[in-house]
Amino acid sequence: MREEADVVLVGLGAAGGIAAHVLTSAGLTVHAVEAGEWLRNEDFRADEINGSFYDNIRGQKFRRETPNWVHPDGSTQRATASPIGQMVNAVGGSSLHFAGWSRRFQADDFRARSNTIDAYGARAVSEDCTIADWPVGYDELEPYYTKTENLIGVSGVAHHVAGLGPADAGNPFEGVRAGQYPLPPMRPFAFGERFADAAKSLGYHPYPPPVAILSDDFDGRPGCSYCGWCLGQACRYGSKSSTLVTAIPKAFATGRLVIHSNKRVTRVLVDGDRAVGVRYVDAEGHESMIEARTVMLGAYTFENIRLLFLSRDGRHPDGLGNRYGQLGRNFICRQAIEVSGFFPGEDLQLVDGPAGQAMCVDDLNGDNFDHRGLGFVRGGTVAVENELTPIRAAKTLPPWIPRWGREYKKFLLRHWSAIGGLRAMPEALPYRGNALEVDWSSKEDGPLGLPRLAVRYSMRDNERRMRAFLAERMLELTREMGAAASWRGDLGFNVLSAHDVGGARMGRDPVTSVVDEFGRVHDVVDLYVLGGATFPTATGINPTLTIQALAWRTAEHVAGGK
Amino acid sequence: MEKSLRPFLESIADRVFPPDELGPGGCDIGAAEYVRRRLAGPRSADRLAVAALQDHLDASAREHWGAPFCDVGAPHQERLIEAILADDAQADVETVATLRLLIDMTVEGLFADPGHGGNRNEAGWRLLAGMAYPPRAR
Ligand SMILES: Cc1cc2nc3c(=O)[nH]c(=O)nc-3n(C[C@H](O)[C@H](O)[C@H](O)COP(=O)(O)OP(=O)(O)OC[C@H]3O[C@@H](n4cnc5c(N)ncnc54)[C@H](O)[C@@H]3O)c2cc1C
Repeated sequence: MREEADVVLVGLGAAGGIAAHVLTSAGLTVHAVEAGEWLRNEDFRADEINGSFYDNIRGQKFRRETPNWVHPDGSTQRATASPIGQMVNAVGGSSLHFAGWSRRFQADDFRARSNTIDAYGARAVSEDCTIADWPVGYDELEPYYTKTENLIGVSGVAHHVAGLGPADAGNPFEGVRAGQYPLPPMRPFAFGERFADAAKSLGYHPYPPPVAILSDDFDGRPGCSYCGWCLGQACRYGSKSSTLVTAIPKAFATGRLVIHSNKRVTRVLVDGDRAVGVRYVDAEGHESMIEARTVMLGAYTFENIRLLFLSRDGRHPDGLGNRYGQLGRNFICRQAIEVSGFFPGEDLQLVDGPAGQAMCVDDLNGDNFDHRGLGFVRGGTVAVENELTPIRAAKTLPPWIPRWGREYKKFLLRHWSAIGGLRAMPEALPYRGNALEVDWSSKEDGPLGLPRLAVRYSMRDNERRMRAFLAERMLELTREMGAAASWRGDLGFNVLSAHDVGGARMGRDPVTSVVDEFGRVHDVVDLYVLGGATFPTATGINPTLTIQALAWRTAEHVAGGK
Repeated sequence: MEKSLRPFLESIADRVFPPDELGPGGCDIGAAEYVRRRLAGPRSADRLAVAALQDHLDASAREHWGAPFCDVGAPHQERLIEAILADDAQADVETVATLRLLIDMTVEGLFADPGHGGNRNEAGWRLLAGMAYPPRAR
């Protein structure tokens, strides 16, 4: 069977959902092939074990094909894990399970290389580091950030709205905005207020990060009930602004979106140097094709890169987008840091709402502070989040408490609500040698048995020093918050993170990048990549709003060209 | 035929979370049943390692007290568990890792959604007084 469309989308997640909305509103017909199910809010149920950190029952495809981890010298081969959660396979993608943080990147992030060299000289960037400026800047993306926030419903407080001047609120490092946030910030929470006080007294500028969770009723959806089962879980009420309940229903209502759920794309079809469609397999193993004038990959970083490799043909023997050997290079993975504090005798009230109720500082992010004498460049977000679910509470105890037995039981029952943590999102830089490649000898689980990716990755000195520096600041903060004791938790160094970016770098020069500023693959006409794979740098900020703003811009570009 | 892991998992559940004046133990809360289901389902890959751990603990218990692990009583069981965990450097890595994993799973069985076999009648959640469970809209 063959079907025809203007655009075929591979994956209908955070990025694909936005693209579907923009393309269909411009009058194009879109066929979206989504490997997972198409579920409704009523299908979701709070359950820690079924969520992202354990069985991830809605991410079975992701689990069957997790990449292998190889040290750059090829020596070690280890299993990968996702310490900050596994990705989802369903209509809405991982926006179903995400915590909802929806921050814009800083203007500085788009000029990471120039700003570093301007401030600290060329020697501040190590020889193996491939840090780069983006081919787009904050000003070009601003309208798309605004449109995305207004479409999905983001709750936050602005610092600088154009024409109004800086306010005494919000994030002083956020770029100038065209307008206010569509919704006010989430309600304050006790631990966040405590963090904010401590941060202020240490000279930082705390603010509640904007989130894709409704602080009030919006566009036919109810405001958040603060049930507190959110991170790694899908929302039963439709209050989390996943694409399942925002962009996708709008696209569907146009009558121009066809959703092929439970179908998995296995190959991009190319005629000469032009993408002409995709091949997919349904749940019973039957193969079909969809022909389209444009193909967009929105299957998350790993699968986007893998499909480009596996769609190789005689004209593209090393994979699509790989004429200059750039595919898979410049891959970057976030390694989060956790520091916890013990506040004996207190109830920190962390069960009082979702992780999207948060408080953070950007004073230690990007180039927002002077790095002279520190031995590293760039930085990261430091934050606290609400939300404490039972198993997490039972496992997050001080290191000197045994993990079993009478002492364990006594301490847990008495003090579980007296422990709270800080989280940092450090910016890892891209390096030569850190890359995604196909491991032809290792097959994914399941009947298709396609080869897995291998992640070639090692941590470098800049990251080690940055992490040590941030952990020190976090320990200071917990002390300032009044912790009787604090410690650095170990999330473990690993190479999957839910903030996995790069591998199909965007750039102007086809010799050093894979896609252009619109996500168009340099060496294949009508083939686009959506998602973090295109990021030249990781930044110290959550990726999804930028992924969605770029998807909007790509879709508008494609619609305009038709 | 493979012998049942059930009595072993029950002993472990009560050592990880002993019944005492603070409340029910791991076995009554259903943690062993949770682990049993995990090892029969999503974590079946670990089943052999857990069986090997049981053999290891049974052998040690027999050597010292002439009875299998399940029958030597709580204080002896504790000593055997402690010995493995304290002796990180000497014990074989596999045994330590499996024991840690088993303890971790047992803890999950205290506080996971009751649908997974543990946390019977939400007994685990009720011990964490002040937690607003079962989850509900507010
Ligand atoms: C627990 C957790 C918390 C997070 N919290 C945050 C946060 O607070 N803020 C933030 O910015 N980010 C967060 N993230 C990351 C965020 O979820 C991702 O950045 C975002 O979802 C990526 O968008 P995407 O469209 O590229 O991929 P996804 O949203 O994952 O969508 C990809 C879709 O493609 C489908 N697919 C895959 N392969 C195929 C195939 N071969 N054929 C057809 N379909 C396919 C998948 O099933 C999936 O539905 C979090 C992630 C997790 C797991």
